[in-house]
Amino acid sequence: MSIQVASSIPSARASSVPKERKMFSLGPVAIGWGLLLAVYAGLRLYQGAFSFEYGLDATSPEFATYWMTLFKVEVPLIFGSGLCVWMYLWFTRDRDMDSMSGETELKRYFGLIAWFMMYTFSFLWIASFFGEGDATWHQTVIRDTALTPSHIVVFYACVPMYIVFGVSSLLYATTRIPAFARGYSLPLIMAVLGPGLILPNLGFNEWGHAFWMTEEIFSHPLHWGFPILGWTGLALGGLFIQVIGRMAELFKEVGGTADNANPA
Amino acid sequence: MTENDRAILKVSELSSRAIPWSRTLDVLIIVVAAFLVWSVSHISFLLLGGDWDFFIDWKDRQYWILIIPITTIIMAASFQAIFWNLFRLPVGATASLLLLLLGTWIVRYHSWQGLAYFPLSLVVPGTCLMGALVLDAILVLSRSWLVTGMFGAVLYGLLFYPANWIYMAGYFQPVMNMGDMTSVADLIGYTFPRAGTPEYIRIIERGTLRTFGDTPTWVSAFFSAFVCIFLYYMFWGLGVLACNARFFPVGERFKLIYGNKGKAAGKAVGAAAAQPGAAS
Repeated sequence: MSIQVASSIPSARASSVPKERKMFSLGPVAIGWGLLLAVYAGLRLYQGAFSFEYGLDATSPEFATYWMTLFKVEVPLIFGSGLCVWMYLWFTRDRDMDSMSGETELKRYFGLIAWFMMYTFSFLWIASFFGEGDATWHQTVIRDTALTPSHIVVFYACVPMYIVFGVSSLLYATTRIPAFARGYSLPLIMAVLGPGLILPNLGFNEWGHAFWMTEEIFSHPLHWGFPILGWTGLALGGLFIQVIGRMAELFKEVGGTADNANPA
Repeated sequence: MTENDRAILKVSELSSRAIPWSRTLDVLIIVVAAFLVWSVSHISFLLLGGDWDFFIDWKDRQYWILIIPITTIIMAASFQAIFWNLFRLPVGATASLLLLLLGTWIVRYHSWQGLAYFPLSLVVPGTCLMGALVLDAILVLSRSWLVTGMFGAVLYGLLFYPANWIYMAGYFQPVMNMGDMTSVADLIGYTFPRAGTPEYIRIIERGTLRTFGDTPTWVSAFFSAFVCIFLYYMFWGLGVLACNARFFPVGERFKLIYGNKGKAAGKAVGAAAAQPGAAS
């Protein structure tokens, strides 16, 4: 899916027809989704191959080889990659928002939505697939460690992954879109910070399971921090108002109104 | 282009050049919203009441009937509020429960059966879809969250058990097991022991004739309907709160770091306040 917008840049052939450039392209998002899908499918296949084979005893050498190695690789890899993206977004920020054209601003709003397509897609995998998948492990095996084969995937691969995309969305908005650079967007901060706090909430979760109960009752109050922090994702509703409202203005500002360009 | 399309375009005042952008935005928002609704509905249900829906022999007449409606109506109400307030679309509850059901089925197949080898007949999920359709239908007919909460939430709680009866009925058939009568659901449960069950055994009614249901199911259903009313209102409020589109003003240094120079920095707070939706 791609749409075109006329640019003031003359074409290479110096034609009288203005050169068109893309306002939004699904390509990068599709590639991103494909990569994420490959990672998540790979993790699920890895679980299928080695969970019950080498993941039942946390003190065994096989556990250290197959599961702790994965843990030690994925955490620095994901957060390291995220740090590179965040640094790129920060150091390439727009240092002169005042002179931004409406066309550029509109394009960046589409870019922000693309970031949110990545963010919500990555959040889906922990909130739905691997989240409930964790229950299958707990209903089959009594935990002897906080770093179970299920947790190493759901908490230490899936959670860092969506945190990377969430913070990237926040940084993209504040460094490239005027409205988000002029004031703190309450819904944007809520939608990124709330789900992000699920990672530190794990500390409370594991502490509770270590000292109160090893058994996993998913609906136990010990777990209520997770859904409550998940509810902050509802703040995307407020973000929709901010984004759609401004984009509707830009559609008319950049594309003209029906008065001067009647579609009929 | 139909007459209706022309009328809509006239109201929107968009030029032909901007129409594809607007349509693209529609599609992108639907995708983001679908992922969001799916994620938040599932994580909320999973960690507030998911246990009671994991296994067929835990779908007892007391807690399953009570807990599942009251833990699913909360996100149904919130998304109903968001979709209704922002887009005047009466689809929030149906979208929430439909995507939850889809997500649940995917996990039951790929993880419960695919990873842990529990048979699907043991982990088949319940559905709240009928109640969700009624909830949205009452909202669009009444156009009132107050009326929807009063009647829709009650029906949401009451319809849960009959909506699931069709697929549940087979599991309630009596069978003889080691000289005692039990239900098919319990027999499947005896065959597939689960390591995390001691506490559940203490809580859940299982292994006796009480699991065949009878009139106490309706007591649980009515209690569930009663609780649903209050939770519907509370979480409709949360949905309305989530539509808050405020920008908080920031200091001059923040504006300069983020590329707002000169006079623009001076008008920044005003600009932020004038942002669409900022006052709502």
